Amino acid sequence: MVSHWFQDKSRMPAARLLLAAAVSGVTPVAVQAAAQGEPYSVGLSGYITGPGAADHAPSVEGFRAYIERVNARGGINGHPVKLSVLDDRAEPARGADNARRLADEKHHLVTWASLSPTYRPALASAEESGVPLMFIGNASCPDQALPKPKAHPMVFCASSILIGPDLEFVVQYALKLAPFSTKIGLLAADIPISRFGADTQEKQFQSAGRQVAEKLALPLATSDYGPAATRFLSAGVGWINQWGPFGQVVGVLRAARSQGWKGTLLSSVPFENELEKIRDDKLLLATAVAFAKTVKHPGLREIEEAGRAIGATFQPNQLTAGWVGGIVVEAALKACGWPCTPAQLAKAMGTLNVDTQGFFGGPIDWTPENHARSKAYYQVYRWSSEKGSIVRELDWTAIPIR
Amino acid sequence: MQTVANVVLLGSLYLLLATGFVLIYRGSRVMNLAYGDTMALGAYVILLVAMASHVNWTLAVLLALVIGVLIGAAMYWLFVRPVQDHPVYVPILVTIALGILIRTCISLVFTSQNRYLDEVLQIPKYSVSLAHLQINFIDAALVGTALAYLLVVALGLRRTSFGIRMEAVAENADLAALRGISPAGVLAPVWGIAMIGAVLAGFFIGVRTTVSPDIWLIGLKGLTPALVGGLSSFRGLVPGCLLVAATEVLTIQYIDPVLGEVAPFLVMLAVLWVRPWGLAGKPEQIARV
Repeated sequence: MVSHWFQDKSRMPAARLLLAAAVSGVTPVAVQAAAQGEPYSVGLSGYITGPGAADHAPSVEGFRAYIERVNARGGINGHPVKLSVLDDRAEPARGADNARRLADEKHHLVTWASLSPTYRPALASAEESGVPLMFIGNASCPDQALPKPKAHPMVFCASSILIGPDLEFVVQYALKLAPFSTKIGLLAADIPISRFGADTQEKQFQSAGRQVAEKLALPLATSDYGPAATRFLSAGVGWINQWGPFGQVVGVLRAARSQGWKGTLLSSVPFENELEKIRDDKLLLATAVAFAKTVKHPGLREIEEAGRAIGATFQPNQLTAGWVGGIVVEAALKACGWPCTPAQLAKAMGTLNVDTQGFFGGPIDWTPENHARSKAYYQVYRWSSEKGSIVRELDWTAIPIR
Repeated sequence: MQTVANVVLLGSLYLLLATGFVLIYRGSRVMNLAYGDTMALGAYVILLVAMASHVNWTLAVLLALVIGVLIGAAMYWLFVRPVQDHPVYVPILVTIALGILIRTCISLVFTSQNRYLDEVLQIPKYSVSLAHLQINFIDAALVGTALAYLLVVALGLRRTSFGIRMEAVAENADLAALRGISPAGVLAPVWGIAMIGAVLAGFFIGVRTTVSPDIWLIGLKGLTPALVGGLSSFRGLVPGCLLVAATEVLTIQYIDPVLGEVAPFLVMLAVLWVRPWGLAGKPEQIARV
């Protein structure tokens, strides 16, 4: 079959599953457990298919792999976890349908691994149904999980993206490394969250006394990145901070390099495998998720085995953010005990402290006021032509969540 | 100078796409709205061939072109031929449905991960300096290939018996059939030849940026310069593509990148308002449509 030819070993069982999703619009997966007894019930709405799903679909697989692993080892408190997975394609209408459906299914916990346009119905549903809602994978933490001034009792975040600290980190890093004489450029996609990221960074640079020489928001389906690259070069930009889909990083960087640009581009996407393919020494990736393959994370082997068991289509190192979501869900359900109602689970989650096993820089430590974490941690990686491999430029650096 | 280079490069990409659109329309009088998706499919075919066969990159592209021709011919034979005698909107709707089918299959099989054709194909990276410009091998190849494709297609149709048969079928399929020309036998290869443009465009997009299921949107943008130049005219393709590319590049560079998406359509509306048949199309053909 076609999938056999892939180096990343696409799995036909997953492809068949996704075929069912394409036809029906949902991806129903009931993960039946080696454990016996009445199950804990967890629902998930994720961005599994559609344009840009590559940023989120691996998280869903990572989460599923973890849950399957837990069930194979006897479940939680002797009870299996039954997982219901729905595909929302990052579309608000589908997100609303999924929120309704997951509410009807009366889960102990609903998890969400998608884009922010799908959040509103999920948050409303959590409020109405009293079922805790947890954001996982590469979903961005909503404000309702943050101490502003107090987190919503039903909303939790174990995902890798915290917009405020993420932006603060990349600006601080650029200020530290780009000499004062170097002109700064900002690159975003023409979508609200990406534009917000660029606008916020611009304000932060200006507060630090640095002017932004050029700020561009490019449409998602850009035919040619040459003109955008020319704008940066004409403005004399020597450092670009990018906040948006990774495809435009590649497009702008390649176009700029072909026009003779020698500057540095800092992006905030945790795409370890992409860095290996692009091989540009001055492309820096800031990430809240460890590059597990580069650092030879001991847990990667387990992820690989678990991924194989569910027929994962993505590489093991792409599943880590979703895997952490699984770690947190297991800890939450363990803390809740059995029997466990959604209200009891939300209460148990309010004081949870979970070791992310080195996949994130620090623990997921929830308090009644803060359902994200006390600090966000970041690393920076780049390709080294000298060493012929990815190297870590900066080890875990903490940004407090205020 | 860089601005001129940007216009020429984008214009060349559009030329590859627009030539395919015009070829299909000129031959079968069908506006193929699946063309963008076939471009994406073409890029993935190259990826598959390269990963399966580990041959030199030029051979991989050639093999992919052959497969692309077969896919294009099959598309016509299986999906378009049965509805070609129906009202004009029916084949268009079929191509829309076909595009959605191709797009979905690509997402299912390949997922939405970005793929890097240049890394898989191991294409050499070298460039030359010319008048303060850095010209890399791939960009030069894009321009040369687009012009060569147009010339081969346009001259081939004008100077070969196959081209004459194609024009006959396009003019009046029933009459052509009475004269012993099989419309399906002519149009299937036409769609196959048009697929060459799609595969080549997919190749250049893949090596200059990435291959992902989303690139079908870029492929569909090739329709705009085809309409500007005249959907039934090869002569209008170069001016049409350059005009659209120049508008887009200048808008991106001097106004706003987001408006760069809109500008080509404004040009299209302006041209069609003045000349509904495009810069080089023929009025009597519009009456037929």
